[in-house]
Amino acid sequence: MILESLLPAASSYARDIGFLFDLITLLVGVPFLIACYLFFAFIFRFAAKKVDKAMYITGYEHEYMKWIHRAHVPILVFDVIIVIFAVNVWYNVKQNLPEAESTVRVIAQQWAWTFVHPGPDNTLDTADDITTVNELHVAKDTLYHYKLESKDVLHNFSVPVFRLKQDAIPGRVITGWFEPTLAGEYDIQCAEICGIGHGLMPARIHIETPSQHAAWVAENSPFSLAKASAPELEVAER
Amino acid sequence: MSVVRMRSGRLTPGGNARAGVTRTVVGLLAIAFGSLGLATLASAEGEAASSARGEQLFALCTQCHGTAGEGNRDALAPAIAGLPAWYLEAQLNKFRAGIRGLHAEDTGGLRMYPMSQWLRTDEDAKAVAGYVASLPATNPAPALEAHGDAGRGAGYYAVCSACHMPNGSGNQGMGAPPLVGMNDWYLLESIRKYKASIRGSNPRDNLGQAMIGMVATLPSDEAILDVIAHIQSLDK
Ligand SMILES: [Cu+2]
Repeated sequence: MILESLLPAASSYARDIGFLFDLITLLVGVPFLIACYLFFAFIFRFAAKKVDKAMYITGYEHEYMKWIHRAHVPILVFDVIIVIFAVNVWYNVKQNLPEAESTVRVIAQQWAWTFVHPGPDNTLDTADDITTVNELHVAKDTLYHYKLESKDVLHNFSVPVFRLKQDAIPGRVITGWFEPTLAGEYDIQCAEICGIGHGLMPARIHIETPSQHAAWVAENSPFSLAKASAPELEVAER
Repeated sequence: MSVVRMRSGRLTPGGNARAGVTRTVVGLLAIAFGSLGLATLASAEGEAASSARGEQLFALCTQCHGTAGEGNRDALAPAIAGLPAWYLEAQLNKFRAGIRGLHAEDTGGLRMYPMSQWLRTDEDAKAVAGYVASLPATNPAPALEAHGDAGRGAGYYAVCSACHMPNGSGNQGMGAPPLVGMNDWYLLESIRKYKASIRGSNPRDNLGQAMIGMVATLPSDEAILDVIAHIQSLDK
């Protein structure tokens, strides 16, 4: 609702995470606005010139302190609510690994993304794999595993429309999953500071219908490939 | 053959051409035509402004290439100080256009490609190239553990010398940079990349494609080390 009005939801779990985002925004935002209102209302209402000398409260009088203690109750309650909803989503997105229909390798480095697509045989690490730079192609409504690696330092594979973020850690291959549900071309970004070029490592994800994707795979499999597709970075556009 | 398509062909005397242009007829002609214009003073001013801009932009390069442009092997960044402005500008423009540095296996190039995007205009690329060219060459010490045989390397070098000149000083007319004063590890990496078509394979990289053809005359890693040993033996 709130989040989706700002950014399309393009993965099977994007709405679950959007719901959490909205829930937290409301649980935190509404009390925040109330607090702001009270804060300024009290400042103006009880300005020095309007009332007598301020009262000194030691912190032991229950009479006065209850207004602070009572505010802790909703904080605890909201925390529990958030945790209950979040655990479910976390389990589904990060702990659970549904069966893959296809697998891509995502390699981060300073300051680019290399994507290895499984090619026509839909198997990674075979001769027909399709390797691209800064450009990931996936089919809609297909469940993907990604194998995330880093060549050098920490990076973070972030696909905002999927509501997906996963750290890449040198020396580890991290497996996760996503299922695109909306065709289109969207941003991929690095969400972990990784050096001076961090802001200059954007990539694009192309979510295609299965038939479009099959056509792209056929066209780009290494047996027909003129290598090194060169998408220019946005910033290069003048 | 491909010089026309290199951006170095667009150097003008108002920019940062001092290092290389005057050595060639093309450069002399350009200066002659340039001086016909009324803007002798303006061009001197422009040069000062360009140099200041170049110095400002160079701060970005220092992150990997070092404050003196001396390079840093760990960052995959070669020494660049004192290379000719025309060569630096041509390479920067290749990176900017994604003609160089976008191959999936070109780890160093994939670092340089995004950094080159900081140069938003041709003038900026020219300015920083001019500034780097004005820095004193650092003549980096040999860093490779394996050494070739300079004598055998001299034989292989005959092919290279056609463009890079017998003394390794390079030749702007051929688009060939000087080889003396380059890091030995960078020469090794570059030749290996050309051999594997990791560098130079972009259809718009005419000189790179020429290099892919040329390095085919080096049959093995040993031969590459031999030719590097020969280049290292040349006077700086
Ligand atoms: Cu990064």
